[in-house]
Amino acid sequence: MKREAERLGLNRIISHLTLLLLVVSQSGSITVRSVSDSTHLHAVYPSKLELVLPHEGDLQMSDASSGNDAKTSILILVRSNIDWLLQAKGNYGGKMQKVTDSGVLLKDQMRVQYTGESASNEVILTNNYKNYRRGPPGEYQIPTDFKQRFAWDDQPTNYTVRVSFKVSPD
Amino acid sequence: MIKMKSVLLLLEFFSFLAIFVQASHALAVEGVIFDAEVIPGEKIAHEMTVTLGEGESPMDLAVEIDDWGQSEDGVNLPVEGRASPGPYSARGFLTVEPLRFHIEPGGAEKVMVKGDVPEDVGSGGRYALINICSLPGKVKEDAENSVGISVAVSALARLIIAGTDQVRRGEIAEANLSDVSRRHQNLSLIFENTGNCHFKAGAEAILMNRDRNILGRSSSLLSSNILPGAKRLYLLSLTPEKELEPGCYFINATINCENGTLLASKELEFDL
Repeated sequence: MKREAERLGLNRIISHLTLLLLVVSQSGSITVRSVSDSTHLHAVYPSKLELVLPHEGDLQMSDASSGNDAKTSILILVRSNIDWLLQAKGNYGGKMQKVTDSGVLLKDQMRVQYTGESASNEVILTNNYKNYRRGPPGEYQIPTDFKQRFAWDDQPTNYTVRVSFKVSPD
Repeated sequence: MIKMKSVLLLLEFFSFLAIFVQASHALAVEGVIFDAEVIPGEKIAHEMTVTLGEGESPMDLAVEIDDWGQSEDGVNLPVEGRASPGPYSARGFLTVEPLRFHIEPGGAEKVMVKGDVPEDVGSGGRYALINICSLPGKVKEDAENSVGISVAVSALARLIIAGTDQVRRGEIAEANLSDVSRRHQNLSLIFENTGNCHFKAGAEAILMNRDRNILGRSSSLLSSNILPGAKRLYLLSLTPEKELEPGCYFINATINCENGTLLASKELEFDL
């Protein structure tokens, strides 16, 4: 009876190990490919970068008023099996008004900030990519605030901001 | 028996976790580094796979090959405004297909990078950036006060010309001391790769007195790959074990290649 229980336990261990191996092999980080005309296995370790951003693409900025920050928050996810660098830039999209007293475009005031543990300084976005976060291989959740300070004499009725994120090997 | 139960519980927990961990998936590119040793006259190809996660919005993407530049902090950047490829660029003989494509949720698209390596390609390394970026969607009429988000993945092509000399050399273009005190000295070095191929390098600084006794040292981590013609900034901080007495001191700064070869050195002198 005891032996039977041990045997069943072993079977369960083997089944779970198989499942784990199956999941790991499906994750794509390590692929072992067989070469048809050879008895050797040729191991391939493809470099992989994955960037996960909010599904809908568009986020609403709330609490916009002249002289105050409008803010929205998202969670960015980076998965990589190599060192990576995430960069961000702000683009001009839709109807936008110039800040009347300084002549600076609103897009230049778009800022992003990492808000997780050891929150970082804000990065001011421009038309060129700015370094945002970097890290070694692994999976990283990057909670991020977007902020934009508006200053207007005549309130714009419609503004749209486009923010681009680019991930690359570091 | 208790041990076996613990093992089983642990495995069940990890199996459960693993199934949920892999559920989240969005824009991913596999094969983002095209490393190859190529022969002049050879036809080359590299495949990348772009996938979009289930439940994502459909996406239009564009692919572009650029000259690959680097900033002093090692960020890979496209070189803008250059009509003809640079001396170490692979852009002139690489093509990519497709240049634009549409991808549906859960879909995958193969992106092929192909090239005819010129017979007179020269020696060393040839490099290019392959940018895959989402195209902006149409602004929705009801999308007032909104933030649109687009994504891009930058892939690297690093081609080494087989049978040619790989010259790993460089020079310290700038060396500056700042915040010099009896307790602390900061050193910044700008190293330039004057060779013909990429390599990683690290910096080291040794603080000595007039009698050449070592009073402190500092070293950097190995950098990421430095492209030929690119500059890299190293910041080193020296803190001697004992507070320095008034006098004349030297800092010997060196840059070493990843294989241990000395690439460049410079001596700086300061008085306290």
